[in-house]
Amino acid sequence: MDGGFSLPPTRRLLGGPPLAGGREPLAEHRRRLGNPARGLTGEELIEALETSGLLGRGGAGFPVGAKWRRMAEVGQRRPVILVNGAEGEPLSAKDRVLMGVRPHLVLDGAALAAEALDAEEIVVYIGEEHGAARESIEQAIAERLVAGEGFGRPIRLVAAPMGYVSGEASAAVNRVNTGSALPTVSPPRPSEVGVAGRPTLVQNVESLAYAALIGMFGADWYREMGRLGSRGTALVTVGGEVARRGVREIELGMSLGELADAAGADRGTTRAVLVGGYFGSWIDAAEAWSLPLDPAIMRERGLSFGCGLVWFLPGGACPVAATARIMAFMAGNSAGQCGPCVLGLGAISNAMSGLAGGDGSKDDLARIERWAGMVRGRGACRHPDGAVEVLTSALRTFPAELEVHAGGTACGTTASCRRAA
Amino acid sequence: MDRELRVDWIACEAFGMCHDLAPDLVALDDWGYPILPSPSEVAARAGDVQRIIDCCPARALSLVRRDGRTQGRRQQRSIGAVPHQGPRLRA
Repeated sequence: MDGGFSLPPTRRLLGGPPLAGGREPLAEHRRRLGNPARGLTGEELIEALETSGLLGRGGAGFPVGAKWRRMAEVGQRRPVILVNGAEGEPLSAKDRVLMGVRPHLVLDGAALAAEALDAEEIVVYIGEEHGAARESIEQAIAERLVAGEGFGRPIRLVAAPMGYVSGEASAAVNRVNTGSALPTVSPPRPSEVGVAGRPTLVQNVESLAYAALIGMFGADWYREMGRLGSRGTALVTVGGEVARRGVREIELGMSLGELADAAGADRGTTRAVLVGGYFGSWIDAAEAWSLPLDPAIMRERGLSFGCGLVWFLPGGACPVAATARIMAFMAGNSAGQCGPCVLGLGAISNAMSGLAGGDGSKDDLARIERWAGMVRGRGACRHPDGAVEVLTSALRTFPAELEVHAGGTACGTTASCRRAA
Repeated sequence: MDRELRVDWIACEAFGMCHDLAPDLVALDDWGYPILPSPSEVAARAGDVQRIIDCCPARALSLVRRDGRTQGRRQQRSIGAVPHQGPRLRA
């Protein structure tokens, strides 16, 4: 877990006992971090979150303090806190790991949000496939009740069905309200009309865990970490061709090259790195190593830190085939409600598969580029936008490989490409 | 106030009526779904815009204020009003 730290290891998202030990019990959690109360008022906590600069960790990176502030000020009804642990990203594991090993940090954040916003209810929303995470949270809630630590309001668990869009904020609210985890049209936003018609704070589990830490140690403590523009640490999921896969905590601003070395990636043979998730971007290895893993700087460069996924594509894999697989997943995971998303992603996916398999042409490549523009921004949720993001990054990063494939043959130089063909 | 012409993408069935009525205002994509005009075009063509909204068979078009947030302040309540022993903030 070498994340490039100079700070005491206890006060981190994954600080404390070894992760292999599983769920940290309540008593140990409290011994290690103290009581999250710290004598703050709700207003002071919201101010601390605003000052900290904490950005949401669910993918969109919206400032957490501003989100809570809006909830505190807008609307006449008591809100609902929706703890979002529906991690639909197929390659990401950081939310389920956090819930599995540090459930009390997540619950502290949820409890503080509920207190600060005077919430009616807390709903914990966890992917049905994340059995260990759900069990850990369930046990942690039970443990609190036994210890006489209630939440002062009802708390319940709702299972998120499998699927990429289940964790989208409006889909999460819809699931709780109607049982259907499909996104709905916005406005109204969940922050205005959400669970049971109440204003609803939909907040990712890592964001809530950090809100709890900021409640305990303050905004200045949070701001001590972070090397460049963005403050704090973040959970990342490292995957692909590396020696040490898995979830780790990094100081924001750490370079991608440093993470590659820590995880045992071979800089020499890596062709590209997928950063941010299936909503993210391919980055050419030639430009990757100096890239700071910093949401603010990445945004300036048109990239997204997203859910913190960092996935290494080796030189021995065909990037066209890899991208075709992502597009097939994104097309298959459309909620099926909006025409441009269903038909557009379907068309793009088919064309990409054709290219990957060596049945494509230059016309297909041109069509894919045109369709990208016809899909972006044209759905009830941002699923099509995210899919196009990763697609356009592939067009930008792999022009040579795409050119070869558009010539009517699979590039044939790699095992994965031959498999696709 | 600037207003934006919006499609409810879930409701839209690609009838194409909007394009038929105002082809220079609304284009269609490769699958028959509308590509909408900018707010300045919307402002300049208010009559045509209203007509395509009214004629959409799926009732999928609407005008939305661009800052479309509901307003109104909720009174700040003292927190921790419900007694419990969990993580507490100072009231």
